[in-house]
Amino acid sequence: MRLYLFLFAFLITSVMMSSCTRDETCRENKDVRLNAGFFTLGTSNALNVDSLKVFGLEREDSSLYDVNKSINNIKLPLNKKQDLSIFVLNFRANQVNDTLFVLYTNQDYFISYECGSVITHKIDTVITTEHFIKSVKIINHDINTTDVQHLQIFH
Amino acid sequence: MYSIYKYFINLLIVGCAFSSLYGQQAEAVKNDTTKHIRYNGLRVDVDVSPIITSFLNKGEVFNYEAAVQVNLNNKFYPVFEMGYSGASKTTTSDINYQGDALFYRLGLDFNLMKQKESKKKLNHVFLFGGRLGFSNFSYDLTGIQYSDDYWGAGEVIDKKNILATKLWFEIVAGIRVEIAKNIFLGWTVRSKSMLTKDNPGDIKPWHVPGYGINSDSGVWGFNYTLGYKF
Repeated sequence: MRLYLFLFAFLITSVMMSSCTRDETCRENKDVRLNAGFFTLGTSNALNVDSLKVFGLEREDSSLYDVNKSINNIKLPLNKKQDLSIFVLNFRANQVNDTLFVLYTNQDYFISYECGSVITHKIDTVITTEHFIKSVKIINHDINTTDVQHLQIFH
Repeated sequence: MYSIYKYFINLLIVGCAFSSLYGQQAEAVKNDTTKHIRYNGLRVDVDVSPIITSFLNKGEVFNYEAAVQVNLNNKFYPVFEMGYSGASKTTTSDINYQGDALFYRLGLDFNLMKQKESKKKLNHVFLFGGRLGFSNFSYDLTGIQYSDDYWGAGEVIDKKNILATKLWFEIVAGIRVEIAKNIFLGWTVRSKSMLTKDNPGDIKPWHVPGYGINSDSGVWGFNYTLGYKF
């Protein structure tokens, strides 16, 4: 009887053990980008910009945006090995360029063993030329995997 | 969680008090028929589950452990467990994890099965109790990838000799069946909860020796034991 009890329990726990498998799929967002929205100067109204091209300085051959439709929001990847990223915004409808200088610090952020690590950023300063753009405002300094707006660009 | 922890600490204190008082009271017990702490032997258990688990986890995790458990009044069973455990794993994000160390657990079990002491038959017990587990260890991560498709600033780095100290709590249940004179077979099932938490963003160990795969939601553990009572 004792042996039967032991064997029964042994069998049950063996089945439980073999059914315990881990889900090793990454289900987290790993996208870390500076999210900037366009706004009308002096208001909180979103501004639709027609025909925009955006690329990193000296990376004109590799555009981040090259659109002919209206757009009111852009997401820009920062250089993970530098503390400065420079972007050129070509407002084709107005035939002017502006250059956006973003200064920041980088930090490792471990998500999980399924997803790995990402580099997050903390914005220090944003400077812009003022051709189409009139001013910029940092509304969220922390750039991580959370999808929030970090920068407001006013025209 | 805190109340469970506090309850377990109280159990430990009571268990330790029983153990320390035993030496002083053993002599008195001989001349006293009232209820006292009565030493009923010591059992050494060796975990034989790696024979099975090494097939189930594809050699990624290993765990060897043994326990010393004292029988007091056939009711209280203070226990000390010690083992050596580790893991070598390539995760789905291509991070290679490597770490192993000694671990320790201290706890107290209660026998929930009534003992028929008048009958000198083989004994078996149904144990329920708690453990406090501890491990101090280091681990290596290699192949941590930081991708950068635009600026070309992606890199792969290694982080070695990361130190960690982990403390966890276990609720434990199991049986021990005496299959021959002084020889016991048994199993133990454990529900484990980590007490030392990692901060968000920190590289936490994939595996904690004695605890298992490091999960925020707690883990289950199983042991099959072969024991001898002295």
